[in-house]
Amino acid sequence: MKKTLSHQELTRLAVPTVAMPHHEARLKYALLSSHQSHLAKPNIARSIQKGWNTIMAHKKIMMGGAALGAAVVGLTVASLVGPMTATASAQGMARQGAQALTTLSPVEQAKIQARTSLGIATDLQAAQAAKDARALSYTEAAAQYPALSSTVSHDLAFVGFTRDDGAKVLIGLDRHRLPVYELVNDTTHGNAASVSGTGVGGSSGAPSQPINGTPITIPVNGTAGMVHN
Amino acid sequence: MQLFGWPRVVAHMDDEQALVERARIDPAAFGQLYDQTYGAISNYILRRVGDVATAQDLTAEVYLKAMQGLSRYQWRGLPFTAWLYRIAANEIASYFRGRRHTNLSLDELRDDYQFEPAATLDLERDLVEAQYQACRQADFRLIQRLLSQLPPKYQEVLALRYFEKKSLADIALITGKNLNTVKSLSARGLGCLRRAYIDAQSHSTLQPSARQPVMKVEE
Repeated sequence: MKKTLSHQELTRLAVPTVAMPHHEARLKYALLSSHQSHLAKPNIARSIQKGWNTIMAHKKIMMGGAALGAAVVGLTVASLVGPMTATASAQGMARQGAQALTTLSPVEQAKIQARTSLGIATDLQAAQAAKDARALSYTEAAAQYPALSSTVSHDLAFVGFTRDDGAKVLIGLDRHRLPVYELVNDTTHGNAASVSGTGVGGSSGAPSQPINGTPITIPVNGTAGMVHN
Repeated sequence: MQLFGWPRVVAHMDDEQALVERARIDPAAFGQLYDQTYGAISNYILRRVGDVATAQDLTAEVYLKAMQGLSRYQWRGLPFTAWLYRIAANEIASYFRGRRHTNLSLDELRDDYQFEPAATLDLERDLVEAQYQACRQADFRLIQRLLSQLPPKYQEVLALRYFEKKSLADIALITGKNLNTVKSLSARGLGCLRRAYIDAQSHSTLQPSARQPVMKVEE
């Protein structure tokens, strides 16, 4: 560029055009999946429902407070009674992860779907029912899942389980129990693995990569990246 | 009304209006709007914020807000894309107001996060490739950096004018500002940019060749 900066020169400035096809596809999937919940209800019905919810919310404050208190007490007692079994603990973690997902705003949910796995909610449901679900620390997870990258945050809590289709799945939850990492090792498709989880909302995690040069491929037929049923 | 300078969702405005109406209730129609506009909107955001991950997040915000706002959207004969640009501009302004923003170059990613762009995973590949492409053009990087030092009101107008190649009239549509105001902002912004450029010329740290992208993405 020359010493001066004219309007003409700026008009001719070559601007990079960047394609992000995978993000585009995932975001589209996430948007269209939630399209009905945003748009299907007519405005009048939505207004009525909003007003009704407001009224009910006031009535429910007392009941809700009591229920919340009871739940807190219950959880405290449960945590003091004794350690749960590993499976129950893992299933509980998966349940918390699923609940954490549902409490997010549509924006945050779509971000998670766009940036991580589209099937994370399904996999969390599957983990709750999996008999071999295990709660794992990073060290334990790394031992059982060699494809787990060393750059993934060691502070994550992991849930490992085998899906009905035989794929071994590892889900990483952050301290808020939000799923931020998923590794799917689909042994039924030539031991290929797919990994997602660059960290949601900057909460944790780093981009994953294969260890020891193990090739990571994505055994997906045109879907957006994760192995799904 | 002419659609010159805008990504065309459909050939005619009447058809575009019909498509927007359908998109209120039909996901396929919304998908069509999305397909036709994603590239322009995501690139606009990326050129403004300079960071791919942030751009992806903000793009998601824009389309979600667009989807949520479709029921309230009133057709006024303007291109649908202009509305999306306006949402994007608001999101970017909101982001800059509350940001804890640092531009992550590939070098910094590698140094700070042990990030290896050879990863073959789809989103990561998107991220790396996009960052690489965004960093390739040295002149653009320099102008982008200088622009980011200007007040936001100038940034928005100049980015739309010189990055998105919009006319002053189009910028007035997007920003909702009077055409004369846009002209004034553009002229004053260009003056500021020119001064920043001259300053940069005297400081070697802002030379475009200071940090060339060195990473490559393996297919």
